Amino acid sequence: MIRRIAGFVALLLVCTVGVADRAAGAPQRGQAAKLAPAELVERHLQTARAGALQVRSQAAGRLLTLGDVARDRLLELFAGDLDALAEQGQETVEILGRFEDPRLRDLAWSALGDLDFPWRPAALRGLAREGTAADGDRFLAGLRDPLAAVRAAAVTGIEAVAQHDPSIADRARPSLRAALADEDDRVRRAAAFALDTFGDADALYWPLADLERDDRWFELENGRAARYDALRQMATRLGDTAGYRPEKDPDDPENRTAWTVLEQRIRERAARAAGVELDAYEPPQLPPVARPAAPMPPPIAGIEVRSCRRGEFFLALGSDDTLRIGLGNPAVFQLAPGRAAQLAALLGSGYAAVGDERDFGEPGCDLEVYRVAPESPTRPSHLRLLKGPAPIPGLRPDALTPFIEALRHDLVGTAGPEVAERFTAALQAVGGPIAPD
Amino acid sequence: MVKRNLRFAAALVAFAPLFSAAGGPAHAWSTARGVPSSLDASEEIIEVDLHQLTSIAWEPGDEVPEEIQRLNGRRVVLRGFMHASVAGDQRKFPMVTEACQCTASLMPSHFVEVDLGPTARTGPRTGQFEVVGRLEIGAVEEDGLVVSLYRLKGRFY
Repeated sequence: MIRRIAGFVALLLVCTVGVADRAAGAPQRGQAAKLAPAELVERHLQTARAGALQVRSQAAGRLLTLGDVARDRLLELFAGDLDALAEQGQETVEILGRFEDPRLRDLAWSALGDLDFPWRPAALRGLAREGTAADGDRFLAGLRDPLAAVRAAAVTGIEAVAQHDPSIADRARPSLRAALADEDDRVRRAAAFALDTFGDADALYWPLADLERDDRWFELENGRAARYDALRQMATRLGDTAGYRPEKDPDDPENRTAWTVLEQRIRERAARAAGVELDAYEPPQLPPVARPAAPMPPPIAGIEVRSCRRGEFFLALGSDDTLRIGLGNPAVFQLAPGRAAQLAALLGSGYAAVGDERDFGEPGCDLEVYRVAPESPTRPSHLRLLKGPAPIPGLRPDALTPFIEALRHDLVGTAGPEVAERFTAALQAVGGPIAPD
Repeated sequence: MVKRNLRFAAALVAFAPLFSAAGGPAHAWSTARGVPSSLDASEEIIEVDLHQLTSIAWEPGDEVPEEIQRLNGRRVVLRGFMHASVAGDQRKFPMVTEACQCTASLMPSHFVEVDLGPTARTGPRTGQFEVVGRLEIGAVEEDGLVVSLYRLKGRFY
């Protein structure tokens, strides 16, 4: 009998807990409307910090709709405490600048001013959405930032400021023209479209050149991504896509025809803007970095470093003994005969020393990926170090050091010590100190 | 909001030719490697460029462009990467055009949620791969937040 009662009580408990669990797990839609604003703020802050990746931005956006209650809580939690703000994550950082509150905007500016703050691009993106006339010089300074994502956001900010202060167009023009030679294609495209907005229609030749790109970095289809992004933005300015299809090869006959139509539209627009006859108009000369890359032998090894604090590096070793730096049309440096194979062998030895393990660390905003030409169709050619903003001691296997040291040596001798130093800083920000050889 | 909707409408108009019936966003898939045994051989499998799905200008509350919506329910093959956030063995994972979207937030329109089915699991994958299966399009919400816009029930190919 006692056993039966105990069984019944246990069953009751299980059912009760089950219902409670479901209620706790699914309170949201029904209960959200019943929560007090202060409770909603806490809930959205929690989701923005630790919810599924794809909902964090939406949750942070909900804070904006809660107005003063959210503003006051954000100030209470994060004013003067960038460490706490960093832990809250980039989605919340991104909305600070969108509050029409000078204290929160100042907080975002101070986050941007701290080179060790991990979410600087997000801080400036938010500020750029609501750029005010007073922010003009700060956005201009952002064009010189070491992080490409910050430079791109700065361009957006300048366009926003121009809504209130049209004079910024002339002040920004030289810097924006310089940004057309930026090593990062997102910055070049942002600058090109901003210049077009400011009347320099010739800048549309830059995204037009992106439509001819078909470059890859190992398996990353950067040329294809550039075609999509360039076309999407060009179409809104030139009326339509003229039938260009970014999923197809740029040399596809239909794409060549569409490209010609788009070029003609840009030529007419640029000639008008420049006040010259169409026949007399000379299209601009694009810098090498903005031109489609010539065909190159495939890479045999490479390293990709993405640090949320120190920026991105893409280095590849070509089978033609070249060291290639960057995406798209990379800077190419000739190495001594046989050197690329030597470096690839060093990396291969590093792989062999670490055994079958290929992923180290935990997913986050920092990434260090090594690539060698596939060892076999079934064996991964990647070795990844992953981490968030916090350091992970000993993340990089020591076995990779000989390859890194040799690569750094060649970088100094080719691209120069400044590039090698930036590369080293990015590496150290992700995988930690480079162990002595 | 009005401004945003106008921008969206303008983008739709501008991109209409991109998804026109002549060619469309998808192509009949080369069957050189044959139709996977789990799929009906009589049903056409079309190759869809993942960039086309993920490059639309979309925010929660927006409609998906009609030309993309037409792919809803179709059997497709997609090529892409597993998002770098995936850890451990998973039944579902976000498929993206680039594994590391390190400097921007992941939005529902930026990935296809691949569901391998109740018994299958996968760990993190680094290189590019293909999946084949049925594509489902439309915002799915949990707690009033959109958790996915594109879903594919299928398997690695």
